[in-house]
Amino acid sequence: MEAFASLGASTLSAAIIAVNIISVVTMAAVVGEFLHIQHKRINLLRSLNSNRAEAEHKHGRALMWLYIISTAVLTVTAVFLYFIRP
Amino acid sequence: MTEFVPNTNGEYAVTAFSTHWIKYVPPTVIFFLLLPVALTLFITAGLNAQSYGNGADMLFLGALLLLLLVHHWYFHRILSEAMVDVIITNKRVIFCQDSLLRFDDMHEFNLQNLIAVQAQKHGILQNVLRYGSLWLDTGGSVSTDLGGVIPQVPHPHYVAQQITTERRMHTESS
Repeated sequence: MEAFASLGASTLSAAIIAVNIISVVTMAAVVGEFLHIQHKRINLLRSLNSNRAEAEHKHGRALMWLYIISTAVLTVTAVFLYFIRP
Repeated sequence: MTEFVPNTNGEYAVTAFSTHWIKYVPPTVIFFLLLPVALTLFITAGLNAQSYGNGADMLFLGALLLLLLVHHWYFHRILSEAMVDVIITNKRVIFCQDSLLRFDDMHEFNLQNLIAVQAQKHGILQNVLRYGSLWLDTGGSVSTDLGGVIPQVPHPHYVAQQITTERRMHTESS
């Protein structure tokens, strides 16, 4: 019985680690694709001598950092709550 | 008066803008409805995991999954929309549509081939919030044909007027 409980707990720990890894990989993929498309768009605007290029850059980057920081906070909180258990 | 500097091809951007902020409303409403539910489950299960054993652990995993799903879905939607979508130059109208990792479309309408521009504002919401759609008729298309329609354009009548002016100037110069 104890062996089953221990197996269940370790499976759950592995699942929580896996979910967090998938979350960070998803964030990296979305941010990478965002930077790629934003770079293309800024280049297009610059080639047309538009003054919107700089504003585009700043607004997009602010949102991107918000996404990165909030994902990091969620990951750290999940690990803290499950593995450290206050 | 704004002075436009043309590039080596003699093309310059007259205006560039993002579609109306209404596009952020549906994902934000869904996000703020689901976020408190997921956060409450997540923190409650996390804090009670020790006292309630495996049941609380499973609840914690479920809450974490829901929270991460809502979080990534929301930022994916917001980042996909947070770029300049419509660029009007003295030679063409460029409309970009993208959803990160799903599709990246760019529609170009040459002003030379443009027959008509139709601005549409339908319904109370569009009239109050001043946005609508633009139908760029390049011949053979209808206003319900999504390929020629730019949705959620802020101040569509003013934009239509700008396109018409540029088209007229382009026709006169060529």
